[in-house]
Amino acid sequence: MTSARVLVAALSIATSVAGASSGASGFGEELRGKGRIPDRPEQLRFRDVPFEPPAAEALRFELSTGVPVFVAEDPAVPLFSVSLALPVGDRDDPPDRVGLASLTAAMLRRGGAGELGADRFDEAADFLGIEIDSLAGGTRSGVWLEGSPHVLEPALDLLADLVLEPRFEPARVELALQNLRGSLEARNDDPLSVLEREWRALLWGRRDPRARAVEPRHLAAIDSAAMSDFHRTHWTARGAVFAVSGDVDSRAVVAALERRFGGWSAGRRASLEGERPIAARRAAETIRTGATPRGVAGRAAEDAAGGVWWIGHRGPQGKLMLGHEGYRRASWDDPDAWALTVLAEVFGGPGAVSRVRRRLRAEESLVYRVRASFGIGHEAPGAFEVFLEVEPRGAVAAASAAISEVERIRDETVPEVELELAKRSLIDAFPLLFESPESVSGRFAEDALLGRPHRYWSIYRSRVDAVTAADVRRVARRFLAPERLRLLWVGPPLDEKDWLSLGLGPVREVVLGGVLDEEPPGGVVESEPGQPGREQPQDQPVSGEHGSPAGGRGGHPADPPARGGSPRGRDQPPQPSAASGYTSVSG
Amino acid sequence: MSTSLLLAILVIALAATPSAGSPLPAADDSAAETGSGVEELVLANGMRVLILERPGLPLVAAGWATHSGSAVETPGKTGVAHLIEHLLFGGTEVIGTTDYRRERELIDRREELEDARRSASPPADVERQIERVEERLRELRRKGEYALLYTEAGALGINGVTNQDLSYYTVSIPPARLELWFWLESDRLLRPVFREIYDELPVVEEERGQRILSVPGGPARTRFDARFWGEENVYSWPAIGRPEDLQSLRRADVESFFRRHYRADRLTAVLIGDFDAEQVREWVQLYFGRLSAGAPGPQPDPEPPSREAAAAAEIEGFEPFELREVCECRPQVELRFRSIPFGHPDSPVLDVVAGLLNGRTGRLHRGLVLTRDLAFSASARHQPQRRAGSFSLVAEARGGGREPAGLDALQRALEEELERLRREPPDDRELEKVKNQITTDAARQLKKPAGLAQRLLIYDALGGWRYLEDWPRETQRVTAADVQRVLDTWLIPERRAVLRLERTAGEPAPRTGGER
Repeated sequence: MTSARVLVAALSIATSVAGASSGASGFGEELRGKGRIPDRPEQLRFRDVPFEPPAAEALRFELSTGVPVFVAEDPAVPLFSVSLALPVGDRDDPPDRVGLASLTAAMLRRGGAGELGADRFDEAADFLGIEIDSLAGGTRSGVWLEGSPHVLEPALDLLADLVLEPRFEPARVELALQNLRGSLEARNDDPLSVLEREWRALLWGRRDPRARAVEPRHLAAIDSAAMSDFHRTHWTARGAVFAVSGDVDSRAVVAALERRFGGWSAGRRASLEGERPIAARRAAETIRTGATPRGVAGRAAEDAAGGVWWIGHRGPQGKLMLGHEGYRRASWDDPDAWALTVLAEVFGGPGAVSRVRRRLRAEESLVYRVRASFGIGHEAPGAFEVFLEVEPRGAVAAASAAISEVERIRDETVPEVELELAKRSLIDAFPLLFESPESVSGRFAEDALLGRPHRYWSIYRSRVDAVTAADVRRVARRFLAPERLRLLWVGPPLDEKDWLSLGLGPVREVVLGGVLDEEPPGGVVESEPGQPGREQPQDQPVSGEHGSPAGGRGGHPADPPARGGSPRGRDQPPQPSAASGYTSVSG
Repeated sequence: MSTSLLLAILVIALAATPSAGSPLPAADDSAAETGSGVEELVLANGMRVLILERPGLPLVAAGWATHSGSAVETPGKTGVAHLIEHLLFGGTEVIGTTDYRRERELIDRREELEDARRSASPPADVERQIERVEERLRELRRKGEYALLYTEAGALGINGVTNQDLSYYTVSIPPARLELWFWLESDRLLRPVFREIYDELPVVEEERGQRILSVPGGPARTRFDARFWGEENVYSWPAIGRPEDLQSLRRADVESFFRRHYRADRLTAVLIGDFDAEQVREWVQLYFGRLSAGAPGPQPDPEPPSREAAAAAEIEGFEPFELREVCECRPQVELRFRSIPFGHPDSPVLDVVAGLLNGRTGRLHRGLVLTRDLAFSASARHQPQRRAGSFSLVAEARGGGREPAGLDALQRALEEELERLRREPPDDRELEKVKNQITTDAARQLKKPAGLAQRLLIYDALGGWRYLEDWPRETQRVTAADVQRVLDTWLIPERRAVLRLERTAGEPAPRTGGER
């Protein structure tokens, strides 16, 4: 019997109310015969299967320009995928043209390329039956291609044209800008997108590259020529990396990429510092000085103070976010980062423990959805966040429960059983980081993109395992700060007294601007720029679940949505969708 | 070998693809078989289990479904299918309790008190008594134990989904712990305890808020659905149930639904991953073999005499209508037609029709977005369900600071594109494009084990899992003449429902008024 099974029993008892002592019955050691069903699942005997991540070096190739190509072959399904990622993103937007990086990336796919005008490019891609798309996120851009193996060559031709010779056809650019303007009109319809947008502003300041929102005035300054310029300057081979997977032959596919990208130059995207907005430059300074994110440089004390902000929104439910800034790792083997990883798992991880989930969903039935994370960035701090979907009458109580969990993990040493279970969850989930060929090549390509040594994966489990309760207590006290918690509520107005009872600080209403306001909406939450803003907190694979090479924070600004259809709007066999299926995620 | 078998179905599909690219790999021996590599086991009790080996995967995608969803609910008791799906995570006589025997007595007592509470003259202290019993029940519960056992074993994605035709329960678990899945799932099918009925109702209400009321246009679409199917139709209520019905649900409703619809001959299970198939077959017998086939008697949900006849009857009796609503969303128009249930022979043709209309180079995007510049987006959707189906076209008005296109113009444009499809049938290249896309989609379906597991469960609940294999093959055979024929049969302009959504002028809509 592994100790973990005992731990489960102990934890169940510890977390249920008194009188649970008989729960450990049945944890016997007796062997069961073949064909017998044991009385309790704890009596099942499992063999342990060791897992080692694949060796990155064996999958690594290089184009003559030095651009790495990671290839994970898998003939199981007749499909191939190719992703290209670049270290270019929203952070590279000029302050007066927010959205330029995203629009440029989106229009690579949408504006024609090489000898093909936009219509003919679309026609060629659709005729091959491939998926090919391009997009930008906060710090990365990329292109993603998937298709049947027999169309690999013509598909790569399209990919190369798109990356190297995009046309940014003005009519298509204009259409995309119109669509984007339309999206801006509707941007306050969905309370969740209001919450996400305003939360970033509240957390980082509205002018921070992570929080800047596209405004109509920015769009007015963006056109086809601006995209061509941006592409010329930023879409160079410098920092680029390919991830390939599926039903391919490694050498053949690398040769095919070499034929098309062998002449792609590193360009002159050298002067990033000069072109980046001020906030990003400050971020770069912060990185060099290695300052910790606490008491962030350049930010007045009151800007980091806690408080409650709310935005009125109709609807029976509200969305709530609670948190403050997270942590920036000092290195890829940073003891605080490992301890915070375990802390986050205990506090609100997806695994077995998740104190907030247990408390809010299981014990109090107050909320439908709860999610918590502690962001660990590598160039700038991520964010500590607790997200709740809750009925208005339960909102304050739910927030209060979450706050008390923050206090508890600071004030009380995590019991050994809980700590072990959290660590086990992390270690057990480790193989999933390499669960498919796509995630294998994407994971290693991401290493190249971030400058993360592949060795990170060979130390991951032992480092997690070595974290002690004292470590968790130490980082909890250092990096969780109840007095700096900010709360944002999007939902019906609630009694100010109730919000005040949380003790977070003053309560302020944020009034969203008009539909086409030229000024940033919600002036109340304005704060100084200067929050470092270079890296998304999440460790996103370069390619993977969403097929998004960039791990961006949303869909295409330039794209029509696919409501009621598949992502490409084409028909798929029937399946339950959000509209017709109702889910319950156990908690 | 399962991997090459997976290739086999695609080889057939690819045979229709054009000259582009290198020649196809020669079909190997396995191509002679037309399977997907899925092995089907049928137990003596009627339960079907689908097995697909995929070596090298770190997790086994596992799940099971009952072929009954909200559509088999009794009017007045809607929402019970979805409620059960929630309750099945609450444990069994073994899991989730510290002392089932004591708990059982209290559960019965709680139910008596609920009777009293709902009676014409409830005793004065009934609420207090309920409170006391519930407190004692809470002390006996081991809340969340089911999920805890899984997460402790390194399993992920524990989930349940209910729609109108089925409920399914899925999880991904490390191969070494697979027997835990057999234990826990057969246990909750064998001896579930619905111990949290009255606690779970508010959670369901929350979910309704999130899924319907908080979504722009959600309540309007729910009303449109209701009217589209008609009051008599089992698809007229949302899978989550009607709010007034939810509040009246009782333990007896839950238990009786479970007995009728979770018997072995209504169930399909699926396992995809890296395991020893021989061992899995043994566990299937050992664990699921103990489920009962259910009481003799009529099937709770008999098949209609013929899918063709049923579909024809549906469309004959359909009364066209138009519904005008407002929402905080883009102005939009939907045209919706009654069409065919899952498994109908015209299904691949309607898939191709949707393919012709959809996508970046599809007729709707070209016609409404690019050429006429009326719409922000336009798409079509073919949605066959177990008993009936629908085909819809949706267009959202353009915005961008300009005067939005009027809904009249938008509706006319959708109708014209449909008419144009009749007048100007697809040529070979246009058809081939759609078929090539379907080929890639078919491969994509096989790629992710969890997704494939879900698909197999859904197909089997709707009418048969072999649709996975048949779909790519049958769509390749569709001709332009087939397209003309189904347009004239199912997408008849006069027989459509219209939903028109105008944007509200920023006025707060009534909170829940009119919601049903």
